[in-house]
Amino acid sequence: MSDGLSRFEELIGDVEAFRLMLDGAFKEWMGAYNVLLADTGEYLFPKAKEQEYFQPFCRMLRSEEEGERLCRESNRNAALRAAQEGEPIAYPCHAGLIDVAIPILIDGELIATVFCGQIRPKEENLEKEGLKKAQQLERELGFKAGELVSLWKRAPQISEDELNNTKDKVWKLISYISKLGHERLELQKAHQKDRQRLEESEALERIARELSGLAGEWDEFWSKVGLVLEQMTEVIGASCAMILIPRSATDTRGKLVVKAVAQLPIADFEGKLYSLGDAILCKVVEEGKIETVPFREYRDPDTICGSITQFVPSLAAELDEVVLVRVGLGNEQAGMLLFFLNKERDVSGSLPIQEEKGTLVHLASLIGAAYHNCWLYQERQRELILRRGWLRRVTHQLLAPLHGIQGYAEDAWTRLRRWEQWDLQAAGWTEYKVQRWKDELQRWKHSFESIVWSSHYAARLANNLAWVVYIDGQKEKEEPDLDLVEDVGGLLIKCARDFQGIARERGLRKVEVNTQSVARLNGRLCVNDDLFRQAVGNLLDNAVKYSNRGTDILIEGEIVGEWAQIRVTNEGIRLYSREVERIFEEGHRGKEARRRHPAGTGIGLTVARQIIELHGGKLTVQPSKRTRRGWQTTFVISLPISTEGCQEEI
Amino acid sequence: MTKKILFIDDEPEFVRPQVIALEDAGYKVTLEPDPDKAVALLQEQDFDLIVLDLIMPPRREERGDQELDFAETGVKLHQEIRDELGLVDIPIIFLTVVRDQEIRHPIRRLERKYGHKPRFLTKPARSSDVVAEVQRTLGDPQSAELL
Repeated sequence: MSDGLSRFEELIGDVEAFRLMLDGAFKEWMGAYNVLLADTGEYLFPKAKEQEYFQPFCRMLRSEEEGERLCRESNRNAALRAAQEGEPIAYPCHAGLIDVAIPILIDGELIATVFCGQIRPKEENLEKEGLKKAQQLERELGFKAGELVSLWKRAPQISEDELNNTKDKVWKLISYISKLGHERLELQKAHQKDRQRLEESEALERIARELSGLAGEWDEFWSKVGLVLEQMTEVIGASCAMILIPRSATDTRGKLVVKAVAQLPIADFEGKLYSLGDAILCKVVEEGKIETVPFREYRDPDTICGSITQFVPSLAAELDEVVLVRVGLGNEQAGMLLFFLNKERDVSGSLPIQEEKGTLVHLASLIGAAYHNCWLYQERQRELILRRGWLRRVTHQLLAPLHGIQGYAEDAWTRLRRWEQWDLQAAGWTEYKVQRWKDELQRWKHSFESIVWSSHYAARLANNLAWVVYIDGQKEKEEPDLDLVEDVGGLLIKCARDFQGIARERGLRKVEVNTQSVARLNGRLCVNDDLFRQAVGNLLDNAVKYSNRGTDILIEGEIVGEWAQIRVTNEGIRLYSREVERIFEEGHRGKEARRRHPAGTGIGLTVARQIIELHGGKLTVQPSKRTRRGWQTTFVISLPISTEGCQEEI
Repeated sequence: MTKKILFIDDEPEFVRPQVIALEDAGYKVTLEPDPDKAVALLQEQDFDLIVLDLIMPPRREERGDQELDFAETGVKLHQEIRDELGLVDIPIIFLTVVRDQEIRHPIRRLERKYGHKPRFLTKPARSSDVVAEVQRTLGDPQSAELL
């Protein structure tokens, strides 16, 4: 039954119309009738209407539980016999009446049986025998004497010829109904097949889509291929296996074989083909004798493919088809896909075999392409890792000597400052000579100071490069270690200090920290000292490069809602509204910026934003405003205010 | 009494200015480029503070064919100082080019385990900042800000 309908209702349809048709036939020819459903074992017409469908004798007999059971059993036996005969049968029932069982068979399936008759036999012997059965039932079931038998005697009586005549007429009617049912069944089957094929093609499309977008980690590839093989097994009714052939056992891809073999859906072929943990393909050459083929013995993909090809036909007895598709990797063979079409698979409503094979080949080529994509991805990743490692070493190698350069310059500057304190006039130097000496010292100090900020400039570039390499290699962004900043002014002054020299060189007045405003942020900011200085340094570097001569760069602080804001403002080139987001893109440089400094790297602002975002904050900028000295641009760092310390102390 | 600092860095040519600045600030500084010898010095003498680099050549027992990770020597040396030599009270300042969180994080954890605030200075660092951090750590008066 489906949707609560009996098979009869499914195939014949309108029960009421059927009843009216039978009423017309039986009321005229026979009188009482009913229909026993094959799948439910119930009568089609409900008990409330049984007055219309049973003779008074049958109604009384069925009013007793045991009588009802005996009647049903008699009907069921007759229904089975009629179904076996494939035509109506007339038979004496257990209560001594003659009944006719007419099977409704659709494509050999018994759907229901129409019972009609409930008549007394006209032949004398049969009538006597029937009466005896009725009398016996009356006694056994505890009816009053004559109560049941009197009704039996009033049952209608027709001759054998009349009975046969009626049986033929009803049979013709039922045959016609069966034919209608058959057509309906065919329609249902066709519809079901269409639906199944639609579902199959949708499922295959889904698989194709999944495969075509696949290019990533091996784990993802294998889990996807596993799913795809499972879906294909379901859709096509084939058992699928992918076997990947490594170049050698020590090759990284050698490990993949274990996974591939482990994924063989071999339940159907147990004892014939199975895998052992150590990447061994096994087959049973004869009962109890297993031949193992360790993959590692085969360095040459062709050899192993050949071996499997030889071996596969031994499964042919159990299989309808074995489809073998080689998977290419560029000019190399990467592996092969085996599809085992089991003879016992359910092919009803499935794709025709040629179409199945075509589909398998198509899907295999998609798996091959996905494999190829993943392999290329891995190669690229490997190259990236190598390049990242190399770049990391290079940047570190750059930073160590810069540390030295800066230190030596600072040391020299400190000594010069001490020399400034010497009282040369007391040592007998003329005023002119002393002045010349002081001028010379100033030039030296300036030179050493320039070495310090130049080394800082180079270090910033190296650190930005190191950051790009670092962030590029992160799968998930790792939160930096943060410390509470008690003296935000001090930290920002340190950031500004590195730019005072270069700012002066470029004709700017100064880089000023508004210590009063930034003091509001004391004890409310959690930052990673190095990263924060790098981010602010990149903003100041940007400001110094693109400011107009005679202007200041100003650093201010403010609390805005739940955010601590640090603003870096300069006056110089214009930042257009269309550029406010693009300037944070890696490698992008604004139009005016390119004009003023053609050789910039275009990563400073990107790195600054990434660092601030890693702190849970935002780095934004508004389009420039016109001022007397140029275009004023303000970058705003917004960091969440810390209320409960910076991070869990470990 | 003059406070003693052990400065462990395998590239003395690049850290000499910091050593000079610390000496100018009144500290007695021993610069040791060899991590094995540094361990020996720590076993023989008392120091008030260690300045430690992270990227260094492998220790004697690890000089095989196997390549060490980036900052493995420095990280292991730190563990040895704290856990094996038992020098749990001596403050350590890490002066390094290494900024990778995955390397710094376990160091911070170990420092916190022994009740220390993790102290990192990233190269290139100004000598004045190194001196200021040492003075702050040892509770000494801060000298004037340099360049």
